[in-house]
Amino acid sequence: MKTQFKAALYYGIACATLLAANACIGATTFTEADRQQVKEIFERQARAATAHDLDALDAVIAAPNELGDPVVFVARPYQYWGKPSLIDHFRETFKGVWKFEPDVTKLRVIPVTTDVAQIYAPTQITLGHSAADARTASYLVYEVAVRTPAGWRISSVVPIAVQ
Amino acid sequence: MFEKSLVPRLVAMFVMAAASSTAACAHEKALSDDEAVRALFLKQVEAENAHDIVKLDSILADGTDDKSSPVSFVARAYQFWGKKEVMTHFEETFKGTWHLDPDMPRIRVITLNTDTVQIYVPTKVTLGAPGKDAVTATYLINQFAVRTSQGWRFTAILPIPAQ
Repeated sequence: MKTQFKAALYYGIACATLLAANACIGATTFTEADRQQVKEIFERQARAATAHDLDALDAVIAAPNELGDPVVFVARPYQYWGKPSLIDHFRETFKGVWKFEPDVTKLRVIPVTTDVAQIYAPTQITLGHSAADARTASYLVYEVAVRTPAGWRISSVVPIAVQ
Repeated sequence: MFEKSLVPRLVAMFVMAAASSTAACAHEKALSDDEAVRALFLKQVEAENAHDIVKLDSILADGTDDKSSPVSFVARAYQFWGKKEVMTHFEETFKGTWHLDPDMPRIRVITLNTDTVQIYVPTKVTLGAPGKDAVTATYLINQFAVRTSQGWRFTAILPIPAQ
């Protein structure tokens, strides 16, 4: 009897594992809590970038998954495909001047699906090799956040220069 | 009924089979989705080059209402939010010169999750107001496609001037 119960239990675990593996992590709705979490992940990204904190930046960027690496950074002078390439870029960038200052009062979060949201933030970016040659310019920063098992993470960054 | 040592082995086999089937399924899904989104982009190019507003309308995602529409068109010169605004913009644009010439060998399709894909296509855009000379410039066009009940549809359009 005890052995039969154990067998049934293991069978149940196996079935549940199969079902879970074939289900997605998707939610059924995009809630106000999701909107707040997407804003927070973007603000964490901005703080990490301005603080030149590579580990904190790494933590807010989506990790590769079974479908591939969802990270993209497309700007006029360069394009980076995949998270390692993006992190390497910021490792170099953080050696100089880099400040990322979004106007959070103009931040827009627009859900695309229940698991994907667009972020749009007019942002002042200050960059240069040194304080002497650093310049500030305005960008319309467009990003995409995706729901992951670890929470919302940034996958795509497309800054558009205003001037 | 079950040997004690056999049960954990069966569970392990189920888990391995589930993981393997999920990875294989995700890969197949990504391949066919990649083709579907490329085809959708080519259909969009045809619609825009033909100045076919009805066909273009069928390529952009619908929202439950215009306020929650996931469609946007963000460029250096202007931002349009919601499908209604984007379609009004194209109705005006189609009165003049508007032609897209995408560099398809350079297209990149990035799977953000099972239901969202980003595409990147360097594209020559020829545009001009009615009765005015047209100019041609290259843009790095980024677009985001989502899986809908009608199939893949585009949401955000972000052209970055290449020069």
